[in-house]
Amino acid sequence: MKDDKSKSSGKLTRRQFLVGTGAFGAVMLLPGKLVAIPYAIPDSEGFLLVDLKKCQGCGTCMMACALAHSGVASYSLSRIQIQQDSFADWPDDVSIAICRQCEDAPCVAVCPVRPIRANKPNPKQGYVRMIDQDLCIGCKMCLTRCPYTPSRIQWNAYSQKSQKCDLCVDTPYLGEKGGPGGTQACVKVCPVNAITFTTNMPDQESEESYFVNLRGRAWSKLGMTTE
Amino acid sequence: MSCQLSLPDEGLSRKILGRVSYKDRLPAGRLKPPVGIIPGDVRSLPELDQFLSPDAASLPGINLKALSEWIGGVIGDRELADSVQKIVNASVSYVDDCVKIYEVVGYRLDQARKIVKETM
Amino acid sequence: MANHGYTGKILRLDMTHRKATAIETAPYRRWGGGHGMGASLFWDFCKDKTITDGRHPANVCCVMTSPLCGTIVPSAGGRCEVVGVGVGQYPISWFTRSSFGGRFSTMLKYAGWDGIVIEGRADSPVWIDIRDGHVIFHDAENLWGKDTWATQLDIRKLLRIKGGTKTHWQDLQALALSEKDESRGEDFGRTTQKPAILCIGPAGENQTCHAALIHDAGNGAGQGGFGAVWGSKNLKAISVLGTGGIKAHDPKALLQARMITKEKYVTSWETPDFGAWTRLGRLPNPIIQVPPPTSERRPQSCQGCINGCRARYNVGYGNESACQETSWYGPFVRKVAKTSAENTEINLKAADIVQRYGFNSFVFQTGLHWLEHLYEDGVLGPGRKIPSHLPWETIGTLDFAEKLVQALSTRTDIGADMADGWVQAALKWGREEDLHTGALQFSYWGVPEHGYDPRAELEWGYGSLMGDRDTNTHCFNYIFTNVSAAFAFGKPLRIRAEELVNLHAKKLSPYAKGRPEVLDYSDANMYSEAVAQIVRWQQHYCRFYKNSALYCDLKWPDFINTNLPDLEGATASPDAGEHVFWNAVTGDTLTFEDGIEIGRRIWNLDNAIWVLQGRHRDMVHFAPYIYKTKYNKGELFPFYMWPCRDDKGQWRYTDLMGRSMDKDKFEEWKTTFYRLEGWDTKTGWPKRSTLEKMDMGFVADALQAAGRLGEEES
Repeated sequence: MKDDKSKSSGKLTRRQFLVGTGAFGAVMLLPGKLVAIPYAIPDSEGFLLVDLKKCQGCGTCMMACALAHSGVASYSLSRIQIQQDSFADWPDDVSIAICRQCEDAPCVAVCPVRPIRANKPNPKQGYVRMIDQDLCIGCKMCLTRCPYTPSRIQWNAYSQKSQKCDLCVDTPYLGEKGGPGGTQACVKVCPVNAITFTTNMPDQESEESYFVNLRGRAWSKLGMTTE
Repeated sequence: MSCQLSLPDEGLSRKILGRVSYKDRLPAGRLKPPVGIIPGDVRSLPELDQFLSPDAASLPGINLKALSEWIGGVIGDRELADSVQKIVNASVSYVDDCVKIYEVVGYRLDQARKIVKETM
Repeated sequence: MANHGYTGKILRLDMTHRKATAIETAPYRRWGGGHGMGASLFWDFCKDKTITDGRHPANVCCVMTSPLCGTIVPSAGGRCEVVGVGVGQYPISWFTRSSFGGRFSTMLKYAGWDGIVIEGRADSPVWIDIRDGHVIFHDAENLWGKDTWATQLDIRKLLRIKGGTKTHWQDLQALALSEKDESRGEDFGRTTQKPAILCIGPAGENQTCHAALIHDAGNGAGQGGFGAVWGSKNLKAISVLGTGGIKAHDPKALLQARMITKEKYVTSWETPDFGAWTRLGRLPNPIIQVPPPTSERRPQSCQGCINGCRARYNVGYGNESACQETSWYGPFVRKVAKTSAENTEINLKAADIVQRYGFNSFVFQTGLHWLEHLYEDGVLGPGRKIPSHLPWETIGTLDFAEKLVQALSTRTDIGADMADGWVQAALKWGREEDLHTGALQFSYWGVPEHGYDPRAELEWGYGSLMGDRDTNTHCFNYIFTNVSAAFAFGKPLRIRAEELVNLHAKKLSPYAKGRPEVLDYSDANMYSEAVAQIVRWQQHYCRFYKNSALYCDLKWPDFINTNLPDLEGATASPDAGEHVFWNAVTGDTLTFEDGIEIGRRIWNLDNAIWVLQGRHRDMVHFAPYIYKTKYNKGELFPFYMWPCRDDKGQWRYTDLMGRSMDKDKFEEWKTTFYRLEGWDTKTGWPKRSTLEKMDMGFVADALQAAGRLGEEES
């Protein structure tokens, strides 16, 4: 189990409060007014962080993600989504949608499959929240429950199942070990190094905690802001 | 660099700031890969100042010997022309020459602008 | 046969009957993709290959991807090729090509199409809405007249696609304007992406020779006048959304080769070499003529690119423009701008103008200089021999830029005469002498000299002339820029001349492997068989690898790379060469040389089309000034450095300025070139024996029927 944040903040985490007060099973209000039943799960041991001001919009991460997982290059099958608008100005012209490996993942909480959920943390792979394709029944509840826009769950029209970022655990075409202790295709392939991996859980109360500044000296020497 | 140019009189100052006719233009290109060498010309010293302004995006393309002749014969500033020629004679590299000429032309323009302003 | 890299289907658009059908890719597979496939489709579907104006209704315009599009092949995944008979060249508008980058080819592949064949002419303006396999013709009356940006934004609105980012997944079937299609079943496919739209602006609607096809804010197919071709077909735009994917034959090998490219061939972010001599291996930096307007920007690139050449800023202008569109107005802006910042702003806003009008600014590369010359000489202007009411005295201002581009786009003022071609206009105005003096520097086929004079950079000039247009292929051109810049700065040369040419010669198989003399552009060697071989190599390499496989001209080939200890670049390398990626995606087993051979076949098919259009060696000539005048030293740049051998056989970088071209010796060189290509040296026409060895007997048959087959004995 990951170390809790109360040691640094002095406050109880939401999970600790719920477990401590026996509120397990009580309804939780999520961002966007979505509702889920809390389900206490171990923290993921890995997270992706991105620099929104750095991305060059080449889509290589998306294509590499889909290739590594399925052998097919595709945007719709990619578990990381780069969205861009050619007619918008920097920095609002690009956004990067990554799975946050949420602490209290609503997509996990809402999975109806029993006795074993399809969408759940994988204890053999650093508790990465991932969807077991053998168990998924294609109900799309996790897809709609993701509180972020766009949803971090993708619908695979070929297999008629949901899928999501697994930090490259299940990447038969990557050629290297994935998962929290291994390689993430998007991190490795990004030409500008706009994606990074961390084992430290970002602040779950803030959307911006997953956005970091990865621009360094070379970026500055190229004449671009590092602010 | 230290520029030792005497103050121009009003007449010369107006020539320094003025523009010559099209037929008296000085050919001047610009190299910007991968676009290539782009043709152009220069018709005044203020424009030359802009042309030689160093930037990381491209290189000015100009015949520096012809430049000194043009400044002396067409613009009519012999002293500046001699100063440019001295730089060309002591050439270290083309870009280095351009930078030094840019500085002395800038200095001269400041002199001329001051004189013209004072006489207005 | 499994479709690795390919979707297996090509979209055929019958504009006349507003009908969309799918044809199989398989019969065209041998041509690779892009240009090769497009030329072969043109061969099959153009009923009159003698046409010499792209606005003729018989013209067929093909917009083609390659199997590499939509994959992670570095700087190859994002290009798209356009072919067809062009507009505005002189004396004949050849079957020609252009290409553009961005997202379009990726999206088209994901929609399930290897390319689009556009035939016929709609009776009123239309735009095409492609959503995966579903193709809808929409009336475009409300779009006609709008600039390219407004058009794309309006199409988004029509489809009810939100602007900005952070938008929801969209079901294609649920988008507005959808037609009922029971065959699609429940799941239509979803995407978070915006449609990729290719469109024309006023320049194309008015069918002017300088009309381009524009995609997003700054991707353009500029050369060839394809905007006018679309305008003549009443085709305003093609919008694509695709939710599918491209299966790679060996995804593991593909990923590995991509990662090797980044780790081995590209300079590292941690200890970057900003002055590296490499094409593939640099860090992203926008190629703009002027200093960037702000540091608040990002690099921006085509899909799959390894180092973007464009940018998006926070200043509200200049986004996605790069290269020539940011420099066309530069010499004139300099005359009015008071500060460097103002200089940058006007230049980048002038780029926005040409993007919006869908205007190929390359005509201004030397053309605007000429127009200014005419004005200053008292020939052009109000009440003058060439009437023009444009405010020429304000040239350099943004207002003038817009008025000029508008006039040329709408056939008003001088635009009326220039719509069919600049050389044609010059002749109409009685300015033929300008082609003899060099006042109008349109050096080949009625299009501007690129900025690399044919008398100096031989492979560029010769290659353009033996082809159909300004070749615009920078395979070797960085030799001039890197070496000349080093001389300009007085810096030591990173690679000496002999080593440089030997490094190139290692990779110039099959024609010039181990023959560094092919790069000797000295006076003694400029008309040699060796130089003919480098021209052949470049045209064949480009016809396959760049124009068909769609490797980006700005990054490939990568002959030399100072990021590696042995200086050998990625081209033809066993770990990240062009053929390595091709094979990983398609499952082919090409050698690098196999690709060159495919390129040779495509080049021969092109030449056959040109011959049917009327080509004969007697018309293959530079503009007269190339022979009659010298490339004057120092007038536009102090030197043009290139490796040459001296009379002792020693290699050194030599200044190529100050020479002209000898017309008679060039004629002999042409004979050598034709002989090497296996073409009839009397005419420049392909011979049956050459064509049949390439399984192109059907081409020989067509040429024979037209009375234009090369004779075997020559």
